[in-house]
Amino acid sequence: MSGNTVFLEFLLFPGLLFTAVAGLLTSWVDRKVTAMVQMRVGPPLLQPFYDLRKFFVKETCVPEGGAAGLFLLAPLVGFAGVTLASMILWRALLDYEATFIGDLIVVIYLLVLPALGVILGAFASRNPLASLGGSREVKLMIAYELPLILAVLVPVIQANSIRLGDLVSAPAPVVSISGVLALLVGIACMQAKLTLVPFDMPEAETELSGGVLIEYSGPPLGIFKLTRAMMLFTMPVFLVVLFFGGAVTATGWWPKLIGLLAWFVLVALTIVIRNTTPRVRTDQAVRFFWGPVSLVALVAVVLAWAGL
Amino acid sequence: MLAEYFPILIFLAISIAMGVILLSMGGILGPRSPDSEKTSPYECGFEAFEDTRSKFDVRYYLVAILFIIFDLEIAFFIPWALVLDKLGVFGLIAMIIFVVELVIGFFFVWKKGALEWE
Repeated sequence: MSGNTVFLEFLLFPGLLFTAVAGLLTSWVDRKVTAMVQMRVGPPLLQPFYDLRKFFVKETCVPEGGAAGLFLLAPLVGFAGVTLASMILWRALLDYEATFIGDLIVVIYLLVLPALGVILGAFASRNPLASLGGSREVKLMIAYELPLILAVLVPVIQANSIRLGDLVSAPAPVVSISGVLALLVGIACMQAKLTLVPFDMPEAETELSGGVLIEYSGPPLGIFKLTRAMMLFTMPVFLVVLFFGGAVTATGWWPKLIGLLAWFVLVALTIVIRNTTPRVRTDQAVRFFWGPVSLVALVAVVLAWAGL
Repeated sequence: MLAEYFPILIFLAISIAMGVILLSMGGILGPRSPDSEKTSPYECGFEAFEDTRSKFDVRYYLVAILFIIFDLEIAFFIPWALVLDKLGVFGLIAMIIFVVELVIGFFFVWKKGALEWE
């Protein structure tokens, strides 16, 4: 593949532009469903785009005494990470040859970057509430990262490869018991990775009034919101790639429909959980992820290696 | 191998550059008039009670260290999972022992109360 095509792929499809637009549309679904649950009308389809446009013509306020450079650069860390992760995932779905050995590991760590960016930004804000939120985000990350990696191991064991191309051409792990268990673990971790209720204590509007993002305004805040929308789109794609593998990449339009449906169910599930659960405390979240969730994930790994 | 990872580095640089462009758009299009009230850290509308850089509980370190230990142990699974066929029964038994140790360590930590917050 020539350098020019790759560059276009990165900027347009399936890279930056595609992920951004798809992410904003997904965030519209989230907002609309949330509004309907709360008996409101909800925003029009293009509202996330209007919001974003508005962010970019607003003033950037850098808090006094904060680390200005880090404060402004922090949003870019997550933005870069999720863009690249989405591109690698979609290229794996579209073209086996575009994948390379170990790209799964690369994607896992690229998807850590958005949380890392939020933490860096929070600590650069020089705001007590932001710092509190940042420390909560650190603890949350420590909590969910462990079971997530265990859950990822199940498809790896089944396909016997850490190359995304092999994972998406192997039989779908979700038809086995271990695959189902790992997918459930993955869904719980996804909720925490997106910092959506019940795991939104880094933001906790009622106690920390926005927490990690409290000092952000204008374009940097816009980039954080965009990153979050892109994550809402990309994380379910990640789970579909991992757990539906071969079922969505086979030839014909039927598998693609299954993939789309699986993605939509995952998004819908996320939104439903977010609207029907109360926020938990940090210690409860840590105990939840290191207790039952990790155990289920371990059981899934054991089952996977037993071939179930 | 390195040749495959190099494009990722380039794209990471490009996406950060894109972000910088987006950020500076705000500088060009948006107003810029900071004053001391506007740029002071927000804490319910009054002066901040304390500085951000404060003391915190040593137990955070404990949890962080536990995370590193467990994360590293989990990382051993990935290469093992890849060569599982070639290792056969020996690899299976070795990993069962490893997992049992991991679980014992995990329950030890749990019962010791390292995961309790207060």
